[in-house]
Amino acid sequence: MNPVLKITNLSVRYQSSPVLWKINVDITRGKIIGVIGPNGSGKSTLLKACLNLVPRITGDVRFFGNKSFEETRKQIAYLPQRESIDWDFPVRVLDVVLMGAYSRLGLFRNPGATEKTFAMECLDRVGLKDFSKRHISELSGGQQQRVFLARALMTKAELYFLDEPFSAVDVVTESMILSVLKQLRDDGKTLLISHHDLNSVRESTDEVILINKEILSFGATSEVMSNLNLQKAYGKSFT
Amino acid sequence: MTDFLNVDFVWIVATGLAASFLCSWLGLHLVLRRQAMMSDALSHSVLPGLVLVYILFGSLNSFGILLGATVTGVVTALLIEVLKRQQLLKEDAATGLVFTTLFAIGVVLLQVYAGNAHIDTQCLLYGELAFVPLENLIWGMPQSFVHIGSLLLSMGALLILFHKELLLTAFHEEMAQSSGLPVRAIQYGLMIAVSAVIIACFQALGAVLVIAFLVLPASFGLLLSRDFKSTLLWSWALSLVCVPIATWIAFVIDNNIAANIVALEFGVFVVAFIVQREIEKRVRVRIH
Repeated sequence: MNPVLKITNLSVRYQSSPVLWKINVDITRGKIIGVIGPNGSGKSTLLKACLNLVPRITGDVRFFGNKSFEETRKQIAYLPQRESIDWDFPVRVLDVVLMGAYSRLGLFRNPGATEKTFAMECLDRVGLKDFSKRHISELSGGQQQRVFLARALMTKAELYFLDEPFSAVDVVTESMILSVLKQLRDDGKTLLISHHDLNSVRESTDEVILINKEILSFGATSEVMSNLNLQKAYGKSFT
Repeated sequence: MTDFLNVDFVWIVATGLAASFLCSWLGLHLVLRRQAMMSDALSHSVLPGLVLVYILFGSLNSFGILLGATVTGVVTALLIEVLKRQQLLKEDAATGLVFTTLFAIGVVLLQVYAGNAHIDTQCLLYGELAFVPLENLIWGMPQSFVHIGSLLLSMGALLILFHKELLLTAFHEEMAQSSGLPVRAIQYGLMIAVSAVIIACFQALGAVLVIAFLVLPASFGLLLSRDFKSTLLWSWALSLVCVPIATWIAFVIDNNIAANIVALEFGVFVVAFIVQREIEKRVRVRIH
């Protein structure tokens, strides 16, 4: 089966220091893949490099067989880290979700009634239907994260890049987000998730990429999350 | 008491309002991108473009505004971008270097060609809305009003047409880029638009006060509202109230109209800020 995402020999550096070094990964359809590693290991950079958001020194990233990012971007969704969002920006919840349709609409076309109806459905899936008119700063951390998940759903993508979707969320929100992600996986979508919480990685992912600038291990979650591997990545024991 | 209510007053207020509406619309996009000070940079770097327009055409016309704005907007944005991308300088240092250098080139050009280019340096800095009724008439209307008004209509159409692209690139550049929006082209377009507005408004408002027209109403709107549309409407409401009152005060005490407008708008902004903070405090107390 053709991989949904094929990363070959990918290297990235900021200023003069390397952040990612010779990454090679093939990801197949219909899985939740966790990207884990210590702070500064290049988790977010790996996601951004796939989406051409940071310049690469070397390497190639192909999507859905052998297509470029430009050819397939309408099938790809990106959820940025919540710290990078300006929560005082003058937009309401529904406006943010509608932004997920922009790529599909193209230039000069604004979201219409069809998009608004679908945006409300997306909000309903994350339990925020009654919050559509709220300003984004009037929500809790978990609700804010769910708004961006609804925006990702709005894209109707096949491949999702989610940067720390579980950061700053409570247990209830975490399980709600997880059930939406699993539903997407069951519908045949592929999700690449950068993750910082090692405990929840075990129950939320099918496969894991363990990185610390280079790939230390990649495979089924239960195999990769061995104490030896984690010790190699984090430099301490987890027993 | 009502002596001031004549045709001159109406044209001054109409020009002031058109300039305010135009500046606050574009300024809101700048403020949302945290690029408010880019207006300061561009208000300096348009000088060589402005002198160029006067040398070529002898006066300001619509084609000249577009030409000067395109040249200065693109040159400023490109130079800053090149210095930043080559990792030679940080963005703030690159901006500081580029706009002051272009301003210096403008001053040199101005002095060399001052005889040909009839530019009043005093007017360049402070502007003078009071001179609007004395200007040449185009279709029976003062030149500044026609320039600013036509720019308001054309720029307004473009801002509506590209609204969702401008909104997303301002909200989150990476998200916009990953959605396939031409982020850099939009940024350059915005720089050209701001340059055009500054050139069109410099006679009426001055190169320094135009910055306040770009930033102040937008900041006022952001203080009071929660979405783009109502932010823009609040910023226009501020102008709608302040421009006629400040013009009337300027007639009475005989001073610069644009400066009066800015001072009054800032006063209203401060009052709104204090009231808003008080309300927020009371709401918080009630919740706890």
